[in-house]
Amino acid sequence: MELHELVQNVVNAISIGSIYALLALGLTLLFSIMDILFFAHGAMYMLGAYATYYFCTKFGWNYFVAIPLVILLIGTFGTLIEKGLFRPIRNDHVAIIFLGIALNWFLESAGFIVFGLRPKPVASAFPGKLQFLGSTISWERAVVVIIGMIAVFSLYFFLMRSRLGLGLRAFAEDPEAAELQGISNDHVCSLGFFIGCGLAALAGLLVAPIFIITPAMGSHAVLISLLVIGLGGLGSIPGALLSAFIIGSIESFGTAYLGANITWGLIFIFVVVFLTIRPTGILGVERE
Amino acid sequence: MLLDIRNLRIKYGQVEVVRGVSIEVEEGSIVTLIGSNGAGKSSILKTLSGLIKPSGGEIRFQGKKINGLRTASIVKSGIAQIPEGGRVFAKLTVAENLRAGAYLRRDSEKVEKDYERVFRYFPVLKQRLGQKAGTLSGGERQMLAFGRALMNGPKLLALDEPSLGLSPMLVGTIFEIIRAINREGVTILLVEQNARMALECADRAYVLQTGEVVKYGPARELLESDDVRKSYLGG
Amino acid sequence: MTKAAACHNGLPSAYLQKLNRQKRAPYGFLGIFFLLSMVPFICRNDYYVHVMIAIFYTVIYTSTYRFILRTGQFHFGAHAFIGIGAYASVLLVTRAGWSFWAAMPAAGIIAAVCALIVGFPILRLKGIYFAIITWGLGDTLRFVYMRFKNPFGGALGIFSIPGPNPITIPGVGVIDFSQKSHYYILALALMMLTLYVLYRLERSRIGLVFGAIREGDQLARAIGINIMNYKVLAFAVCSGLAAMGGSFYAHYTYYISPQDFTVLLTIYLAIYTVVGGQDSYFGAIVGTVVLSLAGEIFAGYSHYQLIMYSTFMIVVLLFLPQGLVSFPRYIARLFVGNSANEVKGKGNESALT
Repeated sequence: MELHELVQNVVNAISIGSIYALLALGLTLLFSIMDILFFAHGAMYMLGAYATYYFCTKFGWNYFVAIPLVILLIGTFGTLIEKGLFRPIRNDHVAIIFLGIALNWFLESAGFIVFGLRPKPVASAFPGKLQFLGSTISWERAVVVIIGMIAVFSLYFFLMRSRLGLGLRAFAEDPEAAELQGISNDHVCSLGFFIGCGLAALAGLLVAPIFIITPAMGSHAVLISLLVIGLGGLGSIPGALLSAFIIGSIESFGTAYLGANITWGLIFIFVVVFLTIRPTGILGVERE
Repeated sequence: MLLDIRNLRIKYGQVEVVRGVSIEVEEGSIVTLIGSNGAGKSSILKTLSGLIKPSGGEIRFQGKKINGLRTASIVKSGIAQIPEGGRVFAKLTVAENLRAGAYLRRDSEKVEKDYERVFRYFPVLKQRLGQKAGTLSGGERQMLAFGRALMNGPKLLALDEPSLGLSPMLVGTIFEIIRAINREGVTILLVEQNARMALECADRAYVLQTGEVVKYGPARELLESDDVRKSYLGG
Repeated sequence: MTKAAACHNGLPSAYLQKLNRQKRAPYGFLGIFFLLSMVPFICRNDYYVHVMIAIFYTVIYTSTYRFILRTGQFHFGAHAFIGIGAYASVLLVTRAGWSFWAAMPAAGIIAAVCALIVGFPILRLKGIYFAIITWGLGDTLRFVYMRFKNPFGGALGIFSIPGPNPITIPGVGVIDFSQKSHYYILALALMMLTLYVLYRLERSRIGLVFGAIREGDQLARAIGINIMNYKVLAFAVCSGLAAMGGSFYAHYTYYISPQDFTVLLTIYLAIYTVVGGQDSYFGAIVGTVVLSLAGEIFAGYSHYQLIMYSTFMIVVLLFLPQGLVSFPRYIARLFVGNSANEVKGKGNESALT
């Protein structure tokens, strides 16, 4: 393997990993706070990408203006969904999973009808290339990594340093005891959905200029992020980050040397074998 | 009357676990609910904090009806509760646990004062501030649970079995702390299985049996009454 | 002995009633079979017969899917095993020259063995991991079918699959599958067989155990039953039956491709099950029949169809948690007041924990 190939693949791995990390982070956050798996997460990612398309390509706005708007838009949408649909059945975990599934495929089908079957292009905000150790890296990919990292660090500081973050962490650990401190169940769930859906939308924002956008992109994203958080350990944020980059690496190197279909099988077998040996995932803890 | 519970009824599905209980708690007093397991004591406390909705009856706090309110509003109005076993947040540090207790409070000056007060009661917590609560000993955890509840800035502190699982020496300390907190003006509603300690500490007491109040009165009198002795104090 | 006896002694009359019902059940199933088998000879419209056939094999999928769900496993890979059944049977017929009548059960067995192999390691995992892995398995298989043109036909799939070989039934004559009604009888027979097996499973001690599993594994463990083995067994049997449905599908439509066995198939099954009522044996059947018929309105417009289905599912989840089968009770409660049975039930909590 040549050095520049290696660098190229490492950069790919990191940028794919960043996207997966953002996707998985929202999902694992919702799981650790509310103990639910939100299957419509992928639809939020898809909607984020389409919102980017409308803002940037259709309305011609600046990409950096679109970023906060899209996050706010999809995050608010997530909050409304939580209030309207998920709150009434909050305690029935199986019903919640089914509800997420129904919602995901509802939004996907609606996406096909509203947005059409044709993939949509989003012009890159960073058309240039970057020379690094003899390999050419598009600025886009670098930006994905940078924005992804900013998002992860902001989330970290939000959770660890802010009052609301403290509330989320306390609630994740013991909802009833948290409630007795005045940390309201309803507020926490709304906030959790806002952050989770906002992160998915951010992932959509970042892939919009790189990949093609289709309404079906969400379902695949759900599977990927489930594999990521499964491998990382359900509810573990560092685990999700780690496993996002592991899966990103397998995908990047595998696709380069073995082809996409085989790589997919490889990721899957890796996750299955790992979970069979260690059922809690990389950093997961046994939950009752 | 600070707290006035009238004819409270609580149902789990079809089973009525609390059947028309009335309790009065005077400001500044220590009132205890004693009774065996499953008498409905914990359910009453949970209902008080709004974690369970009662099926009937009324709870008034400072003259205002609070049943039906959300837990956060109840906490804000001045009712703190230490759940059974303390239930501190094990993955959070001691400092974070205390800050979680002050989650709803905006009056940072008074919060600071309460912070100091917690350290006055429990100096050991000050040394452990940066430590995860999960690494504390059982006694320290119970102290942290007290500290966290004090950070709520309560007028009424409800305690669910604070002595459970603690060594006899620690139990003594805990009850001293309860008295000390009470002396500073915090009203106490104490649910206990350790009836002797509770009765010695309290002003008034209610004896609960299968969801009903079977006896109540000044704690001293109950401590000397024959059937209470027989049933709850071991002869 | 003592444990089992203690378990039965608790409700002797109810148990005897169950036994009695079980003895009569085969006649009931045969009766329904004969009644339904008249339909294509009364209604000669090929379109309706086709709709019925589609409902029959979908009921096979849905009811087996529901049974796996009932064991407390969040199954998300029904499409994997249906696909295995379809591809295995087709390849056995076209490549190995087997007769359909040997290939179909063989396909079922192959899928059941696959389920056993996969089941033992992954059923140990908690509910949601099971969902992740079965979904992943289905998608991986899809990539395998696409990647290997030989023998799977790649992304285009396999064309001109032969129909079942003609058979002679004494007293009826030759059935050569030249007409839709012949397929109808076969699909009906397969469905009744599946439903009968599931009925026996559900009413058997194993089935009672699954009821217990849903209440929480603790209880089943207390009765002293090895849940794992039963879970794997149910998983294998149901996957095998579903695979036979897949085999029928392949030889009925003459064409399969990887696109037939995507996660969307499992989604449909989940929707049918939930809308019908996941707690009831008849829920899967009711859900499939009602939604399949309703779906015919949008036949050919799959996106609109899916929108309708998912709306249905959301409404049911929010307002009728026990599904359409509880609708009569729901209505009764509206009129009689709250004296009727509580409709709102608790969900299947054990799948997650």
